[in-house]
Amino acid sequence: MERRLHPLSWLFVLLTQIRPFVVPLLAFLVLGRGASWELWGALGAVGFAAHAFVYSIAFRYRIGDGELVVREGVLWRTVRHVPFSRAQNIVQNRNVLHRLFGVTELRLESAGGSKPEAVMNVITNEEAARLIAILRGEAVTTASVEEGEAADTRLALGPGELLRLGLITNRGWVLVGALMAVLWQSEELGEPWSRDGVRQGVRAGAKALSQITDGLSVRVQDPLSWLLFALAFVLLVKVLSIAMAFITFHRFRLMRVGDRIATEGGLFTLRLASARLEKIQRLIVSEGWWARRIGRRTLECEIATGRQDGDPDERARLRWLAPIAPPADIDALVRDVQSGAGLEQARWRPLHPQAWKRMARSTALVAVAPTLGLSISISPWILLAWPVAVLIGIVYARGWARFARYAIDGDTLGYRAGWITRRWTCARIADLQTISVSCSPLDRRAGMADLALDTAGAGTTAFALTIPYLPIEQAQHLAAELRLAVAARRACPPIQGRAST
Amino acid sequence: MTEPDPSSPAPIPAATTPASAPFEVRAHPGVLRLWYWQAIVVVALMSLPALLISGLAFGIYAMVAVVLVAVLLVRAWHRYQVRYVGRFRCRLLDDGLLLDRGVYWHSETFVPRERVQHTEVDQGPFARHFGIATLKVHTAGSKVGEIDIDGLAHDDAVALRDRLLDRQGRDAA
Repeated sequence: MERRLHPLSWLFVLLTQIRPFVVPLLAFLVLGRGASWELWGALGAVGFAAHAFVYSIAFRYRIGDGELVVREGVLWRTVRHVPFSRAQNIVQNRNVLHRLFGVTELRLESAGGSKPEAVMNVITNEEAARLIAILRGEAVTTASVEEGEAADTRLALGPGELLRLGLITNRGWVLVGALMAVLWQSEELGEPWSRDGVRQGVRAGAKALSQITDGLSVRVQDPLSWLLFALAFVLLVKVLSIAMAFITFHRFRLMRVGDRIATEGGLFTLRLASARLEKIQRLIVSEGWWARRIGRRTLECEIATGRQDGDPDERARLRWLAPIAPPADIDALVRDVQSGAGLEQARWRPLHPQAWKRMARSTALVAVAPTLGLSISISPWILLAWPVAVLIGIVYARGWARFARYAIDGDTLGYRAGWITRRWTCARIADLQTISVSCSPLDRRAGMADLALDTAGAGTTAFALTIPYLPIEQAQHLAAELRLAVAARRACPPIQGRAST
Repeated sequence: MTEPDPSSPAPIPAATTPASAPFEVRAHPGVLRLWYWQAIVVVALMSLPALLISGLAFGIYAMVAVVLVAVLLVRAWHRYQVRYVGRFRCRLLDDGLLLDRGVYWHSETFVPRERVQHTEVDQGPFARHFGIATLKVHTAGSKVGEIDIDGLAHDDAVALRDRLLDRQGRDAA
């Protein structure tokens, strides 16, 4: 039987479509004065609304034999067959408006391709639960996923933990940046500020801020006051970070549902994401300075998708398995997801004993060019910065190397490093995409090599699974061992279906 | 130029090499000529503005100096290319593709056979004249999602591709 989207879908489709334009549109409508912009904006909105309406009316889907069949488009029609086995990542987004109408956006993603396999924008919560149950190959029940009996909660964050999360993270910078942008823009736009309450408010804020900073720069000369000002700013960022923690992870829960792992949470927008355990390619644990003081760590994962960093849907995907948790809980989760040795029991092995020297040497080399350039263009005294940079480099490298280790335990491979912020990463050997040993001229002199291991879905900025500064023979030996291991894992099927249920 | 480098990676232990003999591909000898011409064209285009400016500002001797630098640059580049081709080694083993290359930055990259998503054989107009092609191997990986194997003979590239895809079976991600 073919089904349609929720009758109100056009509204949500429209909102999704105009999302990229919302911020500039609002800025111009609220802060700007240009009548032409409002006109163009209105015209565009009418066009988008018409398209959204027709699109959501024409959208059909049905459950076929082991597949979901989606029919969409009016002039250019597309019929897409999504086998259940390919719908690996399931994501639901429910913002305030969704929740008002009891609907949800359901998104099915596969490991490849640049677009999600299917996006249902929007269907009712019950219908979403029914579809997810079918996708999971279960009997159709009325219980929703998050309330289903099979869901086994592994982690739940209360207000206390969210408070700690705000303390150890700096997500508040996002809000500070947004605030700065608004104030800056209102200053730039200038005229005319009459009538409009919003404009006046923003203007007043901008003025107050500029007065504060101006006043400070005039009056505050002594370092103590600057220190106080800096402390106040840090405090502000922390307060905002706590707010962000509550907004993003309100009532956060991590669940094990059969062979899937699922998370949900969020204050305004409720995000539900799940993925099959075996599709989790890599785990990253991090522990900043503050986090270490209060005994907490963060666990995130990378999922195999064809998408790249920075696409707008990226944050909807399963990512934060544990935004914050005590080390023991994190370790239990790591063992649960990867069925490996975890972080604590892993047999960590050191890098090359001279690793820190090699690292400090490259810092010293890298620092040469900017200090030379600046000393020529500004003042020769800047040359004195070079020894300072070298010294900092040495201190950093020693701290980094003291913690840096790698481990191979059974089916998993781990690497850890860091000085102020410590990070661990681990992946299953069977999930490695490429294995490469590389050796730069500096490495060659020191008899070292890097072992770079690539996994699917790795962000370009995340802590890479590249083990640097290994003794060269050891790097080659490890690469050879890993090649054998990959082939062996591939050969025996039980590992393929390793997600124990 | 092609003398053995004492610190170059030792061959992978025999235990890992499969029973069947590996299919080994070297760079096409003609690639050096192609790359030589490419180096000449690129350096000539780059030095043309420098040549004009130096000629107008400092006279004939400056122009001679620019030409000299350009010639030295082409020669250095070509020596690099010769060393690259000498070190370049691409082997197809039972379990995957092993690529060994790099002059100053050595790298030895292994792509498991099942990890290959798709491949491309690319050939520009000049490369076609020399019978040279580039084999591009795509994986689902994120850091090395695409591996370009430059300077192969077109036949070798095609043969390598065919053998690489031969036993592909399962979903790679």
